[in-house]
Amino acid sequence: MKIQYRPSLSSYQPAPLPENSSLTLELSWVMGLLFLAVALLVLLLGQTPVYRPLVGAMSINFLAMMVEALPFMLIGSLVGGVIEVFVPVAWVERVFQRRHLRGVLVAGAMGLVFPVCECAVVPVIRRLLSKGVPFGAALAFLLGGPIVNPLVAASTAVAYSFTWHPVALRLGCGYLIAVVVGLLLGRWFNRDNGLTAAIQQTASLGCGHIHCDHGNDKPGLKSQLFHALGHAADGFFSVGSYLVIGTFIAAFVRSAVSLEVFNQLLGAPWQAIVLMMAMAVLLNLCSEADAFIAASFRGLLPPSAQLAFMVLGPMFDLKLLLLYFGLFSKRAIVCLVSAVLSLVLLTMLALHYLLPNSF
Amino acid sequence: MITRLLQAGIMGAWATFFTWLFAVEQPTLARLLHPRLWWLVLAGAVVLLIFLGVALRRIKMPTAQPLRWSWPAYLILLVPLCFVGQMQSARFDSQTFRDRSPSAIETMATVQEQEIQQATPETPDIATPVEESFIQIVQDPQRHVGRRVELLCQALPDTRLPDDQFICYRFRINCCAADAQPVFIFVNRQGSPPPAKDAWMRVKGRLSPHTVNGLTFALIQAESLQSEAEPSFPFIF
Repeated sequence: MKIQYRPSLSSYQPAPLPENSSLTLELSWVMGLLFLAVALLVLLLGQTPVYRPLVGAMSINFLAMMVEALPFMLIGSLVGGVIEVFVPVAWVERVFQRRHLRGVLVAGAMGLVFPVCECAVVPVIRRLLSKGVPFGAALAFLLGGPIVNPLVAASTAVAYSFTWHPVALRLGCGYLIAVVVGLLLGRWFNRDNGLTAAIQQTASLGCGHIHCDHGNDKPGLKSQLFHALGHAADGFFSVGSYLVIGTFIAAFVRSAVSLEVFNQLLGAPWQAIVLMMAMAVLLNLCSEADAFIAASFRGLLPPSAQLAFMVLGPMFDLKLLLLYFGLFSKRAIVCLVSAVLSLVLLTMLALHYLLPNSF
Repeated sequence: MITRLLQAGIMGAWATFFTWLFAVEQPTLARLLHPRLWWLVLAGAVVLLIFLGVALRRIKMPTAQPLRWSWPAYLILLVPLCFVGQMQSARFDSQTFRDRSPSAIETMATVQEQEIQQATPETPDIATPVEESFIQIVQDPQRHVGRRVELLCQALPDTRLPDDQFICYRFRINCCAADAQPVFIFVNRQGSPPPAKDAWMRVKGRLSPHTVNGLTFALIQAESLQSEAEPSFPFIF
């Protein structure tokens, strides 16, 4: 039966939940309640004299990160909604699906056209997957987009006093790792085994709304715009809670864990790289801000360790891990995280020995 | 319908918060975000208001997930707003300074030793006071040796320093408060009463090289120490 595009209130029927989503829903529900309990506990502890300073500092970090990241996520949701409604499936197929290799190579550099940070890229990826972008290409954009983009290049240049080596190395390494992971995981995973049940269904139905069939007819611009905004708002609610949880954890780590803890463990170059990778995962900084933190380690840590921090952070941290749970299957997440961690470590070790004083 | 109302309420709450920060409570915003990123808050408020309008127009549309499963996710989105009161009374202090610069004092001393040693022994006494930014003085003390400088900062008496000295510190941000990094300089109070920990002080004095435990660093010989209220922009950029 052909489904017609009729964006009217009466025709709207939400996409039914997948049959195997019950466990995921229950788990999300329990985790959500657990988080709410922890947040309430922290809030109450903040009223006691002993914990007031810690909770106060945490509140500043938490709200600062939220105020900075939430608009990026909203803009990302908006871009995602626009892609969903206005980017034709035929264009997506032409760019990404004709050749697997070309699709991944293009996707790794798509941040140059869609300059989104790692918070904003997740809603965009959801929409691209629903448009039929192959798994490998989506991964390449997910990992490369928040690094290979003009905003990040500019912030890195400013942080390193307009020395261009760190900028070139950061963007180059980010692109290389994004493409390699996209090619590798694109061979083992597809939309059937790599995505969560909810996303799979969205992908098979187009945008997830039964009334939608973008491209079959030509509705007016106004109704298309309204529809894109509806998608964007839904996209925001799909990932917003993960952003809050990730930011909460990041704020706790930023407030409770002293840098001394990291400094005491620094020794050999590989240790410096591993520790800066650990910091990238724990600090959850935005890709447009992390260069300034990395640059503060100039003279203290080798360039490879600073670069490890700047390359890994936008690809994988606690906040992103939680956002990934809303997109990918658990097996895909394990493979993605292992591949990213291994490749960043190997690339940075190679860089350390090949270009020891790169900047 | 209840779910859509909840969604609209959440977006309304965040839109109100962002608008309040941008239009009314800029001193609070200054303690969270670099001013060059304030447009983000405005952009966020605009997008949220658009989403709110869309949500209100779709108020009768059913949603994919039943509310009994999705309500914790919606409440989670409101958690940051519960911390606003706590944040407004909180400040980064000497504990944050220590957490974020464990070896900064030693490092700074080493760096400044190299810089100051290159200074001429007879540095000219420039009587004209200079109102340079904190960061310019801390990053390039050699240029200011012998000059009178004036700084607004927080005070931190440190047991590793002689009794008449304290650390004068500020936090520098590049994007938001989460990336705040401490910058500091040493002050010799020269008989003035010791400042309280974390108190805001206006320090006026002459910058000179000073040696402690074999390390030479820049130090302000204070001519006057004045307590001040917290500035509207506590961070430096």
